Amino acid sequence: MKRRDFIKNTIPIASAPLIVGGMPINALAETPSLKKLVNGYEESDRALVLIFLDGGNDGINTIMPLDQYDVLMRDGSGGSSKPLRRPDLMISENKFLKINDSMGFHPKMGDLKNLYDENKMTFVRNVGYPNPNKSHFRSTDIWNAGSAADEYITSGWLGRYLSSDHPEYPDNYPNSDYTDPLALTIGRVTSNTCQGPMINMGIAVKNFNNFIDIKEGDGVVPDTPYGHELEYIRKASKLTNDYLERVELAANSSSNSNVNYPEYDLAEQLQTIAKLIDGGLKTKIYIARIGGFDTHDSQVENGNAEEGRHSTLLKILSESVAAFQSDIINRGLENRILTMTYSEFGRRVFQNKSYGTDHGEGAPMFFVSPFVNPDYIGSMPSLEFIDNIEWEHDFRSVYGSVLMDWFGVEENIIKALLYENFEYVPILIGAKTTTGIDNENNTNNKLNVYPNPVKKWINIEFEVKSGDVELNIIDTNGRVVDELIGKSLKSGKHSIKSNLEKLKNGLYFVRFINQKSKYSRSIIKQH
Amino acid sequence: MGKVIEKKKSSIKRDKVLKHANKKLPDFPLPIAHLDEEYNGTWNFETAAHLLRRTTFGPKLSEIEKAVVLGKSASINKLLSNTEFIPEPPINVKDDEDTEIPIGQTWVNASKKKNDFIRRASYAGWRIGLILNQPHTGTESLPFSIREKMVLFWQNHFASEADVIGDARYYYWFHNKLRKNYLGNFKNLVKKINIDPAMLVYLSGQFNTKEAPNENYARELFELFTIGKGPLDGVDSYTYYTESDIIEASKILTGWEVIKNFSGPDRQKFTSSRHDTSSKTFSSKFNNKVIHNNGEKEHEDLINMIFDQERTSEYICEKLYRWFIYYVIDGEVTDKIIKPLAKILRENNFEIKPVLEKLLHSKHFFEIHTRGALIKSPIDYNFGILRQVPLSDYLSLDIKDQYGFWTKRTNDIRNQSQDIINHPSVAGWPAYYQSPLFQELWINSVTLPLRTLNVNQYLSNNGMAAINPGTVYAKPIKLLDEISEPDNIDYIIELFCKWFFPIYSEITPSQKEDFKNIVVGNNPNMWKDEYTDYINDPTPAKEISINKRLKDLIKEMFKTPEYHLS
Repeated sequence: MKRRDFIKNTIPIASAPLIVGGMPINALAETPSLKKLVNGYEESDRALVLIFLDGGNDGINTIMPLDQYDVLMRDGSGGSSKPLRRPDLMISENKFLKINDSMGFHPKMGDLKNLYDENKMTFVRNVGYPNPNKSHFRSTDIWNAGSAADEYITSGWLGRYLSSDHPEYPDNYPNSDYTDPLALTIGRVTSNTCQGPMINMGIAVKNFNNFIDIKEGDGVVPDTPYGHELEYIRKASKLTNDYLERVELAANSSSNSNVNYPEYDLAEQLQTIAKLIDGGLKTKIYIARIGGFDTHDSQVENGNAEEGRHSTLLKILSESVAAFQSDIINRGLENRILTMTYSEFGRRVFQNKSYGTDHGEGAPMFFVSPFVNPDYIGSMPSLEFIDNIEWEHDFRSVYGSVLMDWFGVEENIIKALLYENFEYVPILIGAKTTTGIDNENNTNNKLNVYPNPVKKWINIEFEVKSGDVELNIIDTNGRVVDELIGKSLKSGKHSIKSNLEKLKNGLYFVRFINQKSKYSRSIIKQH
Repeated sequence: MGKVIEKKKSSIKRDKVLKHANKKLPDFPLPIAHLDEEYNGTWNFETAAHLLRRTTFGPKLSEIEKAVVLGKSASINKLLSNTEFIPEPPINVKDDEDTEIPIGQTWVNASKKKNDFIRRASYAGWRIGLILNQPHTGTESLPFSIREKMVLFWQNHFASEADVIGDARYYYWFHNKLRKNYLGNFKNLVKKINIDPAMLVYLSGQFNTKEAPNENYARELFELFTIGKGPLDGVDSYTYYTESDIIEASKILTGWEVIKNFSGPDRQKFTSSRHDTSSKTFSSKFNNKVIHNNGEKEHEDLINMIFDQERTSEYICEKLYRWFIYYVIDGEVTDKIIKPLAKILRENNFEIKPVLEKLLHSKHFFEIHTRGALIKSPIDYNFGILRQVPLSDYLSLDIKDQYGFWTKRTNDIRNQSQDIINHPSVAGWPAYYQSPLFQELWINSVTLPLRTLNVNQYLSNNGMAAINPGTVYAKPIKLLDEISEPDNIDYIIELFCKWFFPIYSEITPSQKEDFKNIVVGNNPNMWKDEYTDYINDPTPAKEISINKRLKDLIKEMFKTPEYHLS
């Protein structure tokens, strides 16, 4: 069997959390029954929006570890046992938007904080990789490739994923099955994340007023570098003609947004993405970019740490993402879009003398979707003795978890595409692991479902803090297919039994919302 | 029956396509010639055109013909001569906005201006003017010069962003150093760049002090400007240098500032109290060398140490190879071209001119492996067009209109990802370093439509805008005065194919037939009749008509995939 067929036949393309009853789905996928179940799924209409924070984002200033505020304030006067940290960069403690007692968002990130409070945004702290490289270019290559620090891979992580599904691309693309670009960069150059083993799997679009017929040429090319480059230009011309027509159609088919985006380039990029998805473009991957994070100097204003380059960037990011999220909610696309950020590295704990910071290591990544884990992931090490924040979660595990939960890629495929030591990170809803700090919120006690797979009756046990409870069955497109509970319940443990006989075979989620907590479990329905 | 044959043909083509559609990196089909082998083959219009395409921008018909007459060696000598020439500096063309400087006067020695972007625009336009008109700006009358292509090479090597530097004067004087040294000594050039005011601003060198070393510049000095980054071979170690070497080097570079209220080129200043006077110890990559305090000369000691490494000479030769020949540098190219070239560089104490001389004379430069394999950058593509198509005499327009025409062109290339005063980052244009696509990055779904649009615009009947009411028109009809058989459309098409396309023999008879049909339809005698009629009784209407036919032909040629190649 061809590898492509193998993937198609064994994984549900449209699936969210692929942890079923605490068991990774690949274990279940070995069984013939599940293989049977997942066959016949329709192509996912989910999209992933990637925002590249170009230059190396200062994670400490983004999510301030308030419990180590005093350490960070050290000005070097304490001698060698208490050396300089970053006093010039520090914003007043009470200005931070508190997440809990130990940390808070940068004051300019109010909009993202709101999304976090609504359980629509989460973050993973200190994402990085072993043996980090502090060169922008090399580290960006590593992040785009999804490679180890000492591996030189020229393809991108999304490019390999797309290529495993579309091994013939670009020959005979677009075609009747895949009419639209596989990936789209909003900008002038296609993102290297989408570089396939041989050719970039995506295209770039800057604006919608340069649609023009390009000469494609034809005929045999010689077996020389000249022939190679000529063929490249011809192929690029043909793909451009074919795909831009589709993009133009989508752009013209979408309704006007009633959300006011702020006037930032990033906001404009995201608005374009919302428009295109709304207009029916079936592209799965979109890439936006915001530059300027290389804050060696003037990261903050002299004497006014609340202002400066970094705070402006965080404001742009926060407001742009929030506007995008409002827009896709209004357009009814919220459940179909996952937005995530990445940056090539974080920055040092110690400031330099230019009101800035030099290249560092681990940094946070953000994820926006109604399906995110309501709890953030990761911890902050003691900053007492370190200048670099070591990685806690490998970025390839983060990528893999997104591929797994969002596009339903199987674990052994992820290991082949990305990382042999892949470890699942519960970014999207699903079983919680011990990764989070807040162990008290262990979801295993909050929501239990059995049996799984289920034929007819399902038992659901859940724990209510107090007040309104929502308990629903949701399909892989995020649509509620069965409302089980929608009322106020008294605090304590509850259980119900529900008849799922009428549901079609397939993958579903039990979602439980109480106050600001949201948990879910995957279930397989089979007759 | 005919259809079946047709189908068979296309399946053969598909095999070919599959083989070459970037399913693998291209490799050289035959052994390549060693650098020491000089090109002694035929010297004709095609080889001369190849030399000039690679070393200048869009060679004109007359330039190629001149090179044919001169011969190979004399042509290369001309390309590499007159290195002392420095053009008149850029001037103010918007007097109402740059009140300190009268119109027509240069601003490069003026005081700081608040709306600096006006000067930056003037600088960008000035550069484009030099690219378009380079042969006319020399003191010695030269038919062609490699100068502007080398200045562009160096500005990409020491890449920066004028908008980040924020002062056009700094930017001008920075590039002026590159221009003065474009075929000069690489090692000395790096020493100058270390303390160049624009660089001190761009890579935070001005904030680099002994109390808080800022490693921004030191990192790029190793990684991008001199020795280049190798594979990771240990913790914080990149084969040719380590993280600790960056930290030691940044200490050496402490103490330099930029004097704010100062006019002229040399506004850098060394303050010894800001300089780290400790001894700096480097890693085993540099044989654990220790550099002791040497004040304001210490940064030169650092450069001497880096240039003692053979890798430094190889790294710059690789960049030159990618600029002039091709981006694939495999083991064979390394052994036969890069290493011997680097040796020449070292033997000549890092003078660049002997290196280029050797490369341009080599058989490898002319052999089939390298012909037509370079994808033109936006500057090469767009301004090549504007050089190859005769324009209305805009150089006799008001200086404001000339600058207006040039500065308008900055948008054309910026939109295609090649801003002439702002590189995307300190690494320069990704086409010259980003694997695996390299130069193929110039070609995508954004740039292809813009290239096509620009061809339409450059050859439109309405002309190209300069400052109102100045307009510049394409006048390909002028070419007819330069060619020997202007009444013979077959001859014209043959000549244009040799001139515009990198490998004439790859242009098929049916392509030529298509080109011909654009001009004459299915009436083979039409061109001769029309042209003869025009010559015998020239009227403005006939001139417009002939000019239009030629414009349509050239437009079609410039839009074909082959024209993107050099």
